[in-house]
Amino acid sequence: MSIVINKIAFKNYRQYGTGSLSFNTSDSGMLSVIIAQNGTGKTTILNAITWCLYGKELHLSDEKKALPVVTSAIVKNANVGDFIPVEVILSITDDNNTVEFKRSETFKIIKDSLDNNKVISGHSRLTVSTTVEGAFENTDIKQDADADIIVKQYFDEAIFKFYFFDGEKLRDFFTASQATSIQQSIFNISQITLLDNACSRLYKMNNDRTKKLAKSSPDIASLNEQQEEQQNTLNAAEATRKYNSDLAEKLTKEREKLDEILRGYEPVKKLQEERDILTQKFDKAEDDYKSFKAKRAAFIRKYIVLLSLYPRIKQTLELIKEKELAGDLPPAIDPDLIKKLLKNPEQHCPVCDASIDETALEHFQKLLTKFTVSSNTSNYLKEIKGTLELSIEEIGKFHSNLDELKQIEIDIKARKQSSEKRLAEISASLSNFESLSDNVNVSDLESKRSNVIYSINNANQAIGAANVTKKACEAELKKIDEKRSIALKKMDEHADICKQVSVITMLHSNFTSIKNTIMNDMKKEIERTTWEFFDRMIWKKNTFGKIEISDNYDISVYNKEGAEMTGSLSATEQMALAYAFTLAIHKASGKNCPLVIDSPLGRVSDTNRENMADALKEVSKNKQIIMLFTPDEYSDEVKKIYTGTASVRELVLSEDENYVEGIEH
Amino acid sequence: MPISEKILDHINDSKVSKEEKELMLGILQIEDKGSFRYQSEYEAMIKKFIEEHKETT
Repeated sequence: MSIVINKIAFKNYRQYGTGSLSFNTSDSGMLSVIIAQNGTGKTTILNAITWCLYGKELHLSDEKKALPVVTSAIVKNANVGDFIPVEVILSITDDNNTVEFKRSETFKIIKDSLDNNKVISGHSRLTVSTTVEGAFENTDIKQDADADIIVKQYFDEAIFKFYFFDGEKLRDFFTASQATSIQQSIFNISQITLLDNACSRLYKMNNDRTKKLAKSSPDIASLNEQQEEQQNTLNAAEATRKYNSDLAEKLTKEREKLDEILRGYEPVKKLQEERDILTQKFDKAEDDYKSFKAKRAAFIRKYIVLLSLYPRIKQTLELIKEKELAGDLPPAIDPDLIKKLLKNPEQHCPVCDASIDETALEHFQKLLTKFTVSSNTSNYLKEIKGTLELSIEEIGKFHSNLDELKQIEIDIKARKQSSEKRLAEISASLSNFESLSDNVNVSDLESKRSNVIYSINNANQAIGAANVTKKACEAELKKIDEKRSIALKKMDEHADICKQVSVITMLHSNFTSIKNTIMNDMKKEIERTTWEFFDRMIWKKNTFGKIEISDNYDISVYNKEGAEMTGSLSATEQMALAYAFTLAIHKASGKNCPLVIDSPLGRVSDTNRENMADALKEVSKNKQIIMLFTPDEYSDEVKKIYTGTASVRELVLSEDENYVEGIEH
Repeated sequence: MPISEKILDHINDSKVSKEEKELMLGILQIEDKGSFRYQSEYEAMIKKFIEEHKETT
């Protein structure tokens, strides 16, 4: 990816006033040379760039004692109360995007204590516009904090020195405090930070999911066990019920056979027939008693409600009666009928059959109005009046209904008792009966019958118990099913979360691997490239052995014997190292950023100057370099190297020294 | 800002499926929009990937 500066535009900015500087960005070479005397405004170009990007002029000798950014001549000639807008726009091209960084600030003119014009600054704003080539309608505009993020991605302030190079301030380059910010900024530029942030976020996402999995792990196995247990109990109860049901059926048939025999034996035939009738009566009484119990339960339910609501019902009814007396309730007439009569007055009254005259019509109208103006509450009260009166009536019947129920119970019990008593007598009689025939042993038969009845009763009881158990098991199984549905649903979520964890782990693992590879490769590449550039630029070929860069991006130079000599480098060697390191960082970051170098060869002399100039020219074939020379620096040797390659322009100060001349307007 | 060539090359060289590579790139593009922001987009992208590749996840 290549980034080039196309233009810097100024508006009321220092001695540049309003105008612009365009730069060579053609394929044949991207070298631009600006020559200007000291004091003209070379360093101001660097300051314009940093003010635009970071809101600060980072190449001032003393910020506190510097003039404001507004063109001094404009301040001097302005009126008090005037507002002067200041802008610097840096336009770059990044592969297919055109990005414009615009810093603007408005200053107000006031008077100082000496009655001279001075300015107070307003709010500074950064706007970044990104346009994809050819798609002007899709310009993305960011401001303030969002714009700062874009600046950080292109030209991180922490290492602005590696873009906007001040040849005269090399001493700051390789301090320990710089190393950490260099490392961080390299990571930002090369997007290692991006990978790192993605890894951090994915790691946290995985942690959150793992915690969720631990919490929501469903115990399906336990529910299955419970279900099996309940099912077994249910099956056992069903088996018991069936067994006893079959047994009761079989025993009943046995009893019927025995009854048949006894019925067929003349001496006891009548007794048996009586017993048959009594048994039917007893069974009927049992059935009646079951019905009675249901009726009693309904009675209790009904009267629990009625009796508890009685005070409210009474109060409401009294209220209704009051309102009726006061005439607040709508009349008890069908309003549709009245409307019909009003439309068809030729009809007779359906109540009294009288003809409908004016008085009647007036009366109907009044009634209708009463309907219309009555509130919903009044209408509702009228509707429920009947129901409430019925309820009061029912409550009034409580005692009589209760007495009735009691009587029914007494009657049924009496019938049962009477049947039971007589049946017992018959049974006793038959048990003691001496048979006249050898074929029919009545007492024996009766004894067998009693046992059968006893067994039938036991079987019926067992059936009852089994039914109760079955009902309980079925209810329990239903609960287990519900719990299992919830657990299975959680398991589906569980499965979903597991899948997410798997995918997130894949992403995290790959990003970590890529990040570590890039970091390791980058460090080695920076080391290697720094050495290549350094070796190319420096005239000494037998002194230096290697360059090493630590994990923290501390740079060390060793001689051929392996001894460190970073602190012993000459000014030229320091400059070469700084250049080499800068170019290496640019190359390793994967982003081909431009270099703007103030006094690029200022501290370099003799052969080194030509070496360095030539090396930079070589570099400019693939990277934009903008160099700001003084005329002394731009010696004939340097000029010879750059003629035909660089676009050269000269800047001079205007005669009144207020403005730089040589820029486009 | 576009993802750097270096990162793209490493993603392409990763021993994962084509779809997983696309996912990796998509995730990085969301991260690039704003660090630790757009969490819902992150989640949505991962869930969508799982939904579309049920048989392989």
